[in-house]
Amino acid sequence: MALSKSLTQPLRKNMLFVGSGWRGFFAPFDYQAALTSTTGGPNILDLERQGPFNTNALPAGYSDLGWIKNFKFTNNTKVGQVRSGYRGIVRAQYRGEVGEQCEFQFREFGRQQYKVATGCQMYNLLSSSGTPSTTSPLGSPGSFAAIVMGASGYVASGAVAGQVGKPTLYVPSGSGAAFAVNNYVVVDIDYVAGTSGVLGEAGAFAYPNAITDTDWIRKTSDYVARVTAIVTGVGSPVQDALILDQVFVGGGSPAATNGIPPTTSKVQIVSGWSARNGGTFIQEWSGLFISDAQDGAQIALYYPHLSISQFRGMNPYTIENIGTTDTTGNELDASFECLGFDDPLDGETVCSYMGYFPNANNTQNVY
Amino acid sequence: MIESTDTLWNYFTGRIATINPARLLGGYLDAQDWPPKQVDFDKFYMLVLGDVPLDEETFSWNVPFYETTVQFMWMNMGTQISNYTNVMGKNRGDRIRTCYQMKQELLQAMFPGFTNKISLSVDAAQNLQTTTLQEQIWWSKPAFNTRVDRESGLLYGTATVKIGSMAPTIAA
Repeated sequence: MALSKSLTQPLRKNMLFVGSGWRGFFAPFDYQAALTSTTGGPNILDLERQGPFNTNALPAGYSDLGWIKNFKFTNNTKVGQVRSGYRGIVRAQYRGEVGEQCEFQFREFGRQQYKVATGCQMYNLLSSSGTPSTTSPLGSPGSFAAIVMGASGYVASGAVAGQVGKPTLYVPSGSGAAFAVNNYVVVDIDYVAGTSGVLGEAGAFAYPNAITDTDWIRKTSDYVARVTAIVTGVGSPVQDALILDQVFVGGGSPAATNGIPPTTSKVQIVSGWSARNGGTFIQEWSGLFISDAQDGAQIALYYPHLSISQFRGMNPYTIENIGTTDTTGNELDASFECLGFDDPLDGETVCSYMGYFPNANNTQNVY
Repeated sequence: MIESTDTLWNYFTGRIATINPARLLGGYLDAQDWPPKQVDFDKFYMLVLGDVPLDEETFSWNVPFYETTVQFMWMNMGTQISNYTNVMGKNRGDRIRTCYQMKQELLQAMFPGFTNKISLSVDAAQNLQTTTLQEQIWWSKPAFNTRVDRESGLLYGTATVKIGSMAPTIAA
């Protein structure tokens, strides 16, 4: 008789899952749609038709928020028990509370990482050179009046000579002089006095009669990018083109305008961002976390509705052997709550999907 | 077990052929066979230092996991300047630049730290056959070191890399 398998632990080499950790991708949650439906709101991914996911060509609306460390998910679903009889034996089990949390650290530090990790209402800090406000840390208008977007608007993949394929933002002819290379710009509509509720493409929340700042939607907008080049006198009608470093990410409320500023949008320069701790609003997302195995298999964790549970702050990590003093990096550390989603497939309320895609070329069973 | 070193050398030489097709490649040998009769300058060699089993977390007697340590090796003499009319500089003073260029090439060639394992064999007609196996090898970040031989003025460069790999399955 052959030796027992438990003594020699045979394994199928092609069924190990060896990779290099996880990567996080986020899409805006459509707050407008969620107001009227328990199935509306998430950026739905089709695991059957879109998986395994290509991390170099993401599904529409999803953006790569970069290198994440120590990704961990915790299933908080409780299983209850029905005991009966003299001995109180378990006769049946039922699924009680349903829930899941995930946590990780963002190694890369940018606006969207900052926004997702803090969960706060983010504010773009408009470049402003006037007298500082004495009433609100975020209350100053931009240093120049917002410039109306050009007739050709925003093009995610532009056609300006020498800049073909790059995100391009058109402004009226002559307006390009108001900007400089490496400026960050925000593009969105004016706030209309008297409006309230979920406003703007980023779905910021406004109380009735609480806001008077015309720039408020641009201050809360996700449509921010860095200018890498300015090309004057292009297109028809003749306009100036601001070439951007990346396509606009975020937006998504409503989903139909995901990533595209409305035609009446205006442009302003941004000097930085503020995550204001407090307030009412909590940011929500659809999240996709991917771990690829070296042999081509993939595990994809999809959270249709994800929101911040706790922002643990900026954690320092040591960068070894650089300099003579302590040199540290800083990462944004956060945990997230997976909110419920009513799956129209069968009406069940769930909070996450775990997809496993084996290596399609793995035809040889080596065991 | 030799599949892991065969695979790494095959992968490395394939990458170098793209990164710098002019780079000389000397082949790989057991560390105790070093140096060969003739050592050429600015040429990559790979020395195999040994194999140790991985810890209990990953070791199976049926499919043993081993870590093989290899050391890439090269020597730089620098450029001999014989014509000081047209060339200014310290004779053979550029050897550190050549050494760093080779380090960069090696680092680039090691990307991304894993590849499919291959098995080499010779068929009846004495042709080399390459079989791609359904498993990977993976390797560590290269750790570089250099040493100068003061007598000869030669610069020795090394890069130590550890390969993780599963040995062939032991059926019985």
